[in-house]
Amino acid sequence: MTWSQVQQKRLQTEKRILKKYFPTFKWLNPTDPDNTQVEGNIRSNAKNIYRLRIYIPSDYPNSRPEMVIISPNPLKGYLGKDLKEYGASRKMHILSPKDEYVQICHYKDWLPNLTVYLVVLKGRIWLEALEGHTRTGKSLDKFLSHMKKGA
Amino acid sequence: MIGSPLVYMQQNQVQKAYQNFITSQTDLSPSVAFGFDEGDVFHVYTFKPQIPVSGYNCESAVKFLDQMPKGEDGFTVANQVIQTIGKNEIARPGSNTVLVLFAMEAETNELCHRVFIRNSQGQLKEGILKFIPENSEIYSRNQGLLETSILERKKIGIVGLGSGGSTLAVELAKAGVGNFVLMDFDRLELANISRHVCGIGDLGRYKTKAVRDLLYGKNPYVNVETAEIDINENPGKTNLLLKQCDLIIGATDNNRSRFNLNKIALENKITSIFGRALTRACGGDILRVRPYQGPCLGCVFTKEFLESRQEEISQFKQAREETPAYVSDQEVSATIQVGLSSDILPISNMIVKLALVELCRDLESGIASLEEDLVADFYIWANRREQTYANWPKMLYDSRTPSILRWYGAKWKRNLSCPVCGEEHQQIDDEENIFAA
Ligand SMILES: [Zn+2]
Repeated sequence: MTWSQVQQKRLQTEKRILKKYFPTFKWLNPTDPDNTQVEGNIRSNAKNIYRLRIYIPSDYPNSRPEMVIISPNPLKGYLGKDLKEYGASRKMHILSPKDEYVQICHYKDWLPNLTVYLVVLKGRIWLEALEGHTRTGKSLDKFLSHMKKGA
Repeated sequence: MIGSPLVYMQQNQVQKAYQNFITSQTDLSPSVAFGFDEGDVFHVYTFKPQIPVSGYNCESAVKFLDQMPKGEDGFTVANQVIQTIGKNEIARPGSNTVLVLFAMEAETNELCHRVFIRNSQGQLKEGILKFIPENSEIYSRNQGLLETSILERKKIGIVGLGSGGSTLAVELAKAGVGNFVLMDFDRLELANISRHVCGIGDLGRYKTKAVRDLLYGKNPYVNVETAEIDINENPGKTNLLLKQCDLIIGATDNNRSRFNLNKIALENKITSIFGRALTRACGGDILRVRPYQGPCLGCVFTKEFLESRQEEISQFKQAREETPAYVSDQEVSATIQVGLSSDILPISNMIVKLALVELCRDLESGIASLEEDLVADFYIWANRREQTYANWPKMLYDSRTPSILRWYGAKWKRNLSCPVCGEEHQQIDDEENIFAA
């Protein structure tokens, strides 16, 4: 399978936007719709480095891209607890692990007008919440309260 | 007292049986008959019919004679033939035997016929044989209002065969549409039956195949292709099946599939119609997408729009897919709120009208004036004053205020910066295009 012309145009636009705000993010296997991924590092306000991976679905932008944290792995929270131990958790804003990485819950009601850039932005906000959780032991939803229900 | 029993045969099956007789010279052709009610109606088949059959099974045969016996002689001949065919059979109590006699009349060169029914008590009765004609004659009564010859050639793709999709498929076949592509990967479950056009007798079957049989029952000459696939997982095959269609109807229950259909319709420049029911079927809406001439699904289905008009969740599978994994099955089940079938019917009926207008557009037909009325691309309907319609005035006697049970067309412009159909996508820059294979 290949990306359709319309999808190629769309992905080019996405690539341009993402490059503007997150210039270090790279597109992997971009010609293979079953295997296209975006990866890049995020530096938190506390200067920690995390690596995110976004899986671009073959019917993009009509379905939701999944996002995981591939580094550090295992990803640790309060008192060093592996976040994967929470499974799928509403309080922690995570879904069941994907490829054995912690999966961030984002944009439950996905629409084609959302972009990979916005997904990465959600990832960045989630990572700040994670650091808040690691410092205080409060669940992530306490730090993500400004994110609407379902987001 | 009932009159003579009625016996029906399909005209094309009679012709085929006669051809067989001419070429093989076998004058006795086995057949199957189905009886109804108190033995006053029978349907006889010489070949396996395309349509689903009902009724109770009866012994039957079709016999070709050199000459048709006149008057009482017919009974004598019939008794003789029935005895020969009945010899090898174990007589079943309470069962009837239906014998159809044909003979080519030398003078008129016409195939004449008589039919006899022997009941369980051995009494022989003459019946009246009626023929089910070819397609054009079945639908000839529509002529004048709708150009059946036009509709006969049209092909409609219907994706999603729940209560909405199945009823509109049947209506379109009744209107005379000749070709269908039916797509759905669900099977009929007990929970669906109360709102579905198919019944208990179809439990466990793919909805596509059960609905196909209903269409054959309305018009045995309709062409139906079915695909039991998830369109979200099979974009290539879906595109292949739908790109031949004159119109696509999206009657699925989730936005991902709607957006995938919207994409296929735009890419192939095929008009599409999307229908939905809102929470507990308190109402619904319909969007017609004429590619690049009006709004597409992406122009209309924005976050704000979807939040103000929340969709009906009628199936567990649908709810589970839309809900994150950390929500328990029990919580998911609680979100299922099913409306009444009669709340869905007005929506599918309106889709049928919009579909017929699209198929007959710019052609002289009896519904041409409807084209002038249905200029809007978006329509809303309210069944009850609740949810998004909670503040609507009561219907009472006033026709000037918005009320339940009326259609409202809304003017909705195409969004030129729509992420799906907008024109603002920059041209593909070949040097920078890392996405081309
Ligand atoms: Zn659009």
